[in-house]
Order: sequence, then C-alpha cells, then structure tokens
Amino acid sequence: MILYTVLPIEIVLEGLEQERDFIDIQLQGLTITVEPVSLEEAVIVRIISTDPRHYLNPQLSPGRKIRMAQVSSFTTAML
Amino acid sequence: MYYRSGRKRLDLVTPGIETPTQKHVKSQMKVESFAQLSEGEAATQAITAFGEARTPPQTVSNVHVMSIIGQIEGHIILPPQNKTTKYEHVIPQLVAVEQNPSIEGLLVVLNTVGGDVEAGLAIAEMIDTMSKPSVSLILGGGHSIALPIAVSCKYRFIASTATVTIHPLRLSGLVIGVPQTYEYLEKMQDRVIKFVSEHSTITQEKLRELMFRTGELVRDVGTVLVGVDAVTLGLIDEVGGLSDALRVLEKLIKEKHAKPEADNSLPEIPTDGGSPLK
Repeated sequence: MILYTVLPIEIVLEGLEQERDFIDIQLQGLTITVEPVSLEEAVIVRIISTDPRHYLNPQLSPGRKIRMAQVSSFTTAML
Repeated sequence: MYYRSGRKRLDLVTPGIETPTQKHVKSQMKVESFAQLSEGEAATQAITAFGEARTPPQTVSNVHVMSIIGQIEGHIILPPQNKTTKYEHVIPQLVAVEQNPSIEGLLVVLNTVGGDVEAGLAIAEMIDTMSKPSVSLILGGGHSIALPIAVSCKYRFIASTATVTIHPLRLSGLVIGVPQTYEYLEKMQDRVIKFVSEHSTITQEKLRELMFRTGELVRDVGTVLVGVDAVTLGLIDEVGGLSDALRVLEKLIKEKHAKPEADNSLPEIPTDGGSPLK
C-alpha cells in the first residue's frame, strides 16, 4: 500500500498495530462486518454483498451504529 | 472461536464449556438496526453518533452525491482517528449509480487529504468510464490523490478559496511489505501523472514541474494551487460552487437525453452458420 497524502504519515498510521475486534453478523439477509463498541452496540465497518443497491442504503453505511439485542432470556440469565 | 478470515467471533455468553442449547441461542442472536427505530430517534442518534444531521429527503433526486472526505482508505483499515472514505464501498456505489435508471448524474464532492494511491486511482478509473454525466467540486482542499478523482469527472469545479496540493509521491509515501525502491515509487507517480494529464489539458512535463517545485511548501517540494490557479493550469474547468456544479450537471444530463442512445444491440446471428462479426 502506498499512501499519497498531505498528512504526516505518523499521524495517519498512529495506532495501526492496535488489534481491533471485528465480527461478521447477519442483518436483513446480508452479511456485514461490525466492530462491537459495547455489549449492545456495534459500528458497521463494511458490508459484504454483491448487490450494488445495498451500498446505496444509508442505514448500512460504514460508521453507523447498530444495536444488537439478544432474544433469549435464557442467555441473559447466563450473563 | 474463529470465524471467516481469522476474525474473532463475539462471545456473548460466559466463556466455558458450550452446551448445545447455548450454541443454538447464539446463532439466534437478533440484530436490531436503525431501520426499526422511529424516524426522529434515528435522526437524533445520527447527530449524537456522527455529528451529522440527516433530514429525510423531501423529493426524489435524479442526482447522486458522493462526498469523498478524509483519507481514501485502501487495502489496510486505517486507525480510528482517521476519517476515511472506504473504496470497497465507493466502487459498488458507482456500479449502482451507473446501473440504477432513476439516477441520471453524479456529483462528486471532494474534501480530502489524500490516501491510498491504488484505491484513489480505482475510484477515478470507475468515474471516468461511467456513461452517466459526472461533475466534481473541490471544496476546502482536494490534495494528493484527490486530483485524479477530480479530473476523472466530465466537468470539474473548484471553490475560489479551495486548494489542491500537488507533491511527489514520496513526500509522505509509505510502502508496507514491498521494498521501497526509487523505481517503484517513480512508476506509481507516473501513473498518477499520466492519468491527470490524459484527463485535463495540462502536460505531463508541467505537472511534474509543479510536483517538484521548490520554495512553495515549507519543508519539501510541491505546489499549492488556490482556486483560480488550478483553472489557469487547465486541471479544473471552472471556479464555482454548489449551484454552478448542479447547473452544469443538469445541462449534461439534458444533453445526454437529447443525444440518441448508442446502438448497444447485439449483431444478428446469421442463419447460415457464419460468424456474426463478419
């Protein structure tokens, strides 16, 4: 990868080594990669789809926060 | 538990021995999106989360706006302090714009500090080869790799106070995992120069001269072009703003409608078994 930018490279790449936890989830029938920010919320990192229309959907644009809720009261009790 | 491409999967239950029931429950994890929230609630969340006010569109527009901001992110996910435009999202969007019959034109708003060369060039190549009219508008700053994207549009504008920085690739260039040789960078640089000169009236020699000009940038080489400078050099068509860009886009759309559609029909297959291309 070559970066062609006016910003100093150390500012752009600061924190690159930090590991980030991404998970793939199913949402409205398509796979999206999200980064959990809390137990209930996650930020969309990218969508994995071959349908170009999905990429025009503002609800699925990267950076958007989604809420993840668990259905079963059983698992909630386990936590 | 590892999932596709070695990413760790979220373990929502207490770690330990998994019973079949637990496994089953995990697979049923329900995901609730903004779509299920009320409109007002979603708007408020958009403001708190991104500082962005998104009002529902009142009328259906025939123009698609693509704003390219921050760093153009390529093959490596940049650390979270960067605002990025992800090219793997921009590319399918361009496909959707080209293919969607209700979209007739593309407005590219550029305010970017540069980014991945390959990703930036990919976006420029996509816009360049689209059949639908495209207009670019540089606001604030369109630096480094923003220039090929700007010139890839059929008509381009720059705000009178906006700037374009032209500098050699190795000013802050970085190669990860590839030996950083002079020839390699030179080749990458030539691609940018070639693309820009082919899509504007500037010559390759002039562009190279601007790239390596000394004295204008404080520490290194390069040129800062403010508004009208970019127009005089032939990189940008006109100094203007939002209304100008939309006016030209509407005009280009009308012109396209006036022109008869190109004949895309397949050649008729001859019944005698000969080649249809004869």
